[in-house]
Amino acid sequence: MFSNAQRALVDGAESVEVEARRVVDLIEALYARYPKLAGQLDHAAVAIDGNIHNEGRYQLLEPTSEVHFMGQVSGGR
Amino acid sequence: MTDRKFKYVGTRPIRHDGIEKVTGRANYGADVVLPGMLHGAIARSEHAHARILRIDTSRAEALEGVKAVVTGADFPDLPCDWQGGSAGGVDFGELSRNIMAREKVLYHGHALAAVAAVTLEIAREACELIEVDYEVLEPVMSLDAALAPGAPILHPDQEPMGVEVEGPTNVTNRLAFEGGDLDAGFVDADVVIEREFTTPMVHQGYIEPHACTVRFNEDGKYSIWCSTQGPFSVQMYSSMVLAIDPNLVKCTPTEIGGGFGGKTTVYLEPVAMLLARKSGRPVRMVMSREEVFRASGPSSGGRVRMKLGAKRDGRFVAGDCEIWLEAGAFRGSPAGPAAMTALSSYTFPHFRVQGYDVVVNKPKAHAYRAPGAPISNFAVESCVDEMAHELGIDPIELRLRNAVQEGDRAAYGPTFKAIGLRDTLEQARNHAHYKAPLGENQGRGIACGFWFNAGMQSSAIVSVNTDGSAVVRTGNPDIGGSRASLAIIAAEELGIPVERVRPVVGDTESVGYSDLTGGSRVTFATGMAVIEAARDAVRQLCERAAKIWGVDAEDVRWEDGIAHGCNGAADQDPMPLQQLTPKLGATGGPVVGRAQVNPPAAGPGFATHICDLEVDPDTGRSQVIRYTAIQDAGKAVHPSYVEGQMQGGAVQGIGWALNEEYLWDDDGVIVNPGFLDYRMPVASDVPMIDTVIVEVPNPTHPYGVRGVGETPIVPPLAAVANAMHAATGVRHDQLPMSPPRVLEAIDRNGS
Repeated sequence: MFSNAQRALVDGAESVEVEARRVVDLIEALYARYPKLAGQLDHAAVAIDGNIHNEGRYQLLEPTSEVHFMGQVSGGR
Repeated sequence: MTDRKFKYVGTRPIRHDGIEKVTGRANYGADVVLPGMLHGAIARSEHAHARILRIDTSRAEALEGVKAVVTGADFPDLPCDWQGGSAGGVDFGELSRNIMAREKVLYHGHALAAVAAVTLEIAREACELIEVDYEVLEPVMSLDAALAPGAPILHPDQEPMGVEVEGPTNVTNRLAFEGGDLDAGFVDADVVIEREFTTPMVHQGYIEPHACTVRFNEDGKYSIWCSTQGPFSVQMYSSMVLAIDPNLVKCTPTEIGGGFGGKTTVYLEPVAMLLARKSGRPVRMVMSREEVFRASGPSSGGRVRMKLGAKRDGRFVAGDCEIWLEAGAFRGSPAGPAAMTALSSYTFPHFRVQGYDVVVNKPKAHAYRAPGAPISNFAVESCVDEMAHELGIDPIELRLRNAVQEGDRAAYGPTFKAIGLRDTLEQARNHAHYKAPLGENQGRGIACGFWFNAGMQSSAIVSVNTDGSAVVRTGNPDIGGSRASLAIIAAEELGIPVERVRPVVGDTESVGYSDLTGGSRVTFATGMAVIEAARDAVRQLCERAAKIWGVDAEDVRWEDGIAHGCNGAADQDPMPLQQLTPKLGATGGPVVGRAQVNPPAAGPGFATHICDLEVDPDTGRSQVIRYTAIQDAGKAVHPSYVEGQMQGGAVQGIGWALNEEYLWDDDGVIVNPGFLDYRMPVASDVPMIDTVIVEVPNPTHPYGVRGVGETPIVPPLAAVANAMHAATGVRHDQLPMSPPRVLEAIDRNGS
């Protein structure tokens, strides 16, 4: 699933289905499918089934995993 | 694991660092003294916006006792380039320019040059001798001024992200989330509330100013002692700004007298490093309170337009929230988290959230406790309160009809697991406070709040001593009682009293990497590392007992600090830790448990606050007379420090609501850079803040822990404003609700 800013780079799609074993494989598949997206997800945080990973490139995915690309989450205290 | 019966988790032992702190022996940032140490001072801009034509430091350098002077020319010229990933979203070119001005000064107080001298007085005198020629430019001191056609542009060469505009702009970033069909949602609504809210730039107000001491060795190595939330961040940021190998920088965190996000970056450290290198002597730098206000990183001022649509039965059908935040002199306001949190407490079939980051000639905003969330939440929760009045529905009932729960998708994307918002609302409804009668000129307000809570990287070492005690070593400075929490966790796993565990905060060379103390993450994430490290130690202890008994390690289990034989070894006499540890040498040497984690941010924190306010209609002065903070902590490891976080967050939010604001004159000069004129609440201003800890276990943590530090500052702005409305009949859309503003509103309202 994509944020609004990303949707402009993926032909307006809100979500797409991709087969991938890891987040990095998913990103590469998306870059191949949507060349305008290239590089845009390199530093994005990912929410995998609701769990937000700031650095999630090598997280494993389940066949039914829902992945959401978003801004990094940090905080003040 | 979350239904586990705990022995030490949930108890309230005396904190391990308590004696040193109450007796004044603890060493804070300004307490480090080294032989031959010099004192540093910074010359700062008198203008909010000006081009630097010339800096002449010759008279300062000639002053007796001055040993080194540095300016922007001494810093490497780094490109301005936003970096994400492990750098955590930092533009080191801009960080460097914020630490020391180059082509332009961008706010009143921007550093121009620094001096190291044998006394602080000489260093300050030398700063006065530094001559600067400026071309004074028109300052941009508000969002309106920044966005006006023909406005002066702070960074003409900067390309905005996510914004389509012709030519240079002060808008640096836009992000948006939307779902459903917003127009159709508002058409479907029976009642629509729309308002615009403004909040001022406010400071974290930590008691201890920024302070550091730096020593430079001839081999090129720097040692830094400083008050920071993240020694590894200081190491990385300082080395990046000076373009040196991070391996050359060692950072030792001192005790820290408050940070609240404001000590997650560097201001003084790279300057002191250059002065130490140039002078060949150690250099200490300590900001004055005025410098803290003028040149550290407060929270953004903001403007939020909120539109809320609901059916007559109270169901929210549409929410539209547009957030504009002042980033200060360089991009990077918390517009992102302000937008991501704005609508995340409720379900909206149709919604849109937009966040804009705008540069102005004010200090560069930095993180402040749940960055951005209090600002957007003030708007949302004020509108929710107004909607409750419009619909004639109790404000808690209205919130319960819309509150998110497990399985709901947050407006920013992910689906929530087990969360406690509804539990906090139910607790609020059933609390004696909510049912207590109110007197004349008194009003009661309710507000909820949400914060993600971060995960991030942590490591821990748990070493078992020969006397059966243990040391827990981590890299996170203790701001909110984390030493005690981490010791409790180690005690729980090892099965020894908390007092037998010594928690240690290490420097960058004595512990493994940990991300900073921030994002409400230490008890959650570093606590997970301590659990794993302690379990690693227990695994080793079982192996040693097995060696002594001549059995397999699988035939030993650890319970309450005692090795028990099981399976084929059930006939062995149980062996307590203190009988086992003298034999560690004979069974393989010391026992040291280690672990490292990078857990996801998956423990969202929700809270509901109740505020009673009394307003003097003749003066406009208001007084919080009763306040209750109810929050889901998942599992409170040390309940006293959870309560302390809830109380502290509530009081900071009350200050934001009622008193605090930076004030500027027409030239962009800060006119209230001190605690006399920048009025923060003190103990006598607020009642005892009542607390209720709700425990809905976080399914991603072995004990169910959630972060607790940031959520409590999110609800108070709206809780106080809603109480103000109840007391006076006036809904304030501008903070702070200071007495003159309240009096004017009462007079205007004719009440």
